[in-house]
Amino acid sequence: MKCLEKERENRFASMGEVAKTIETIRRAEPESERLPSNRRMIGLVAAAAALVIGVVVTWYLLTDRSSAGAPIRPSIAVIFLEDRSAGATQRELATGIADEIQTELSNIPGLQVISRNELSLFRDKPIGARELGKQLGVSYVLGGSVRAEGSRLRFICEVVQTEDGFNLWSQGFTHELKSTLDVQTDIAQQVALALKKKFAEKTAEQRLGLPANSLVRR
Amino acid sequence: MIGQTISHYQILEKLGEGGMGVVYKASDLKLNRTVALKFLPPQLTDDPSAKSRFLQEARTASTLDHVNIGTVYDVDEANGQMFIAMAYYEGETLGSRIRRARAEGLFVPVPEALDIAAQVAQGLAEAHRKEIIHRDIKSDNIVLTGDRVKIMDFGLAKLKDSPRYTQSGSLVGTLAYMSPEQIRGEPVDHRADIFSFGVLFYELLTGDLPFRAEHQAALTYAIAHSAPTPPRSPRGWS
Repeated sequence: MKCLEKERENRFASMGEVAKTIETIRRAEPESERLPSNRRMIGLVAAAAALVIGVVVTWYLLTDRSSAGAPIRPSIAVIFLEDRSAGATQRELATGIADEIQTELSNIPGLQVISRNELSLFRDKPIGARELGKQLGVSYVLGGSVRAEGSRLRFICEVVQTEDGFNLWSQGFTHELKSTLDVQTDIAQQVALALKKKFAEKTAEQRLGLPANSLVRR
Repeated sequence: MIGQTISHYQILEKLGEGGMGVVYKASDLKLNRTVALKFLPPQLTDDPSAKSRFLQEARTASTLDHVNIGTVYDVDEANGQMFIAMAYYEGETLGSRIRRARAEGLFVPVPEALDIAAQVAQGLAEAHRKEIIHRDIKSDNIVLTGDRVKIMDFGLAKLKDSPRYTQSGSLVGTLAYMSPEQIRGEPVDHRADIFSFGVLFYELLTGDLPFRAEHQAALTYAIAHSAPTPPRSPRGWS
């Protein structure tokens, strides 16, 4: 197996690549359940061989594994950001950033944004994106954390697909903590811009008939 | 220990014991939830530098938020003993799942094995994105809870670098998953986890470990120099 190469240079380059390869095998697998066991073994050997050679990674597998379904408008919930500063002194700023991002995102055409009111029930509760997706009926969850150190603010933002828990996009931002309002607006605009691009890519793929079905819900 | 209250946790029952300490099920009296508390063996943390390294690592690990990674709530110290408060998951470890199948002469069904492997891979991919390496991926560190797979014990493995850690029996189990570079004591990166994941995946599909030997030295040699053992009598073939 390619994971078990002695020299690390010869292994898969990243765990993400491994995950994608496993997905490839999984797609090929379901029918083999009906086959007799030695036929299944052949399927398994083929699958293992695929792992060894590692050539099966195709770009379109970046998308998730949901099958058929009607496309709906993508929806997103901006959850409360975590304050990781010493003494948790930046809670207000964290809330402010989330509010700003919320506002910016609601300006993206075609994207539905869940209201803050709906979300307040989930504040400070450890809940996974998939579960949140189920409870709120959203296709994406945007979350992250802020940490202030001295005069600098570090903000990590990530968007997770609720259907499969995959990370769609994530980015870190570092800002000088001069004016709180500027920081909030600035970050929110950058996030909205990046996401707009990301969603546009997805939509384009969908129009071209590619299996960009992460905007598809069962 | 049972029934005692430590910090704001009331100990309910003992869940298990391993090389990395004793685990108890406990009730968090402040937040009114059930947690798992892992008490670390005192010899691992009595050296101040080992302790601060551990704290650093545990804090980093606690920033991980992924559906396939066991959540770390808190790291604390009570009566001179360090402990980690983690989410409590109802379920069995992957190791016990594999052993259970083996005991019945069966394998973990392929679709289930692939589902588990995919989830572990996604959890690890997320950790690596945040530049956190697990260093001790093995089937006993994976918990199956409902249809969700959780990777446990992020950041604990670094403690083993502690010079006072003696290689007890529990390490031998872990050794089977170690990458050649870890065995050689070289600095590791995320690719060490990829190797260990390969061992885990092999075990998941075949019920056996790819590198097997009678004793530790031979095992070390096998990992560093030998090809993985071909599967014994794989699924329906002999």
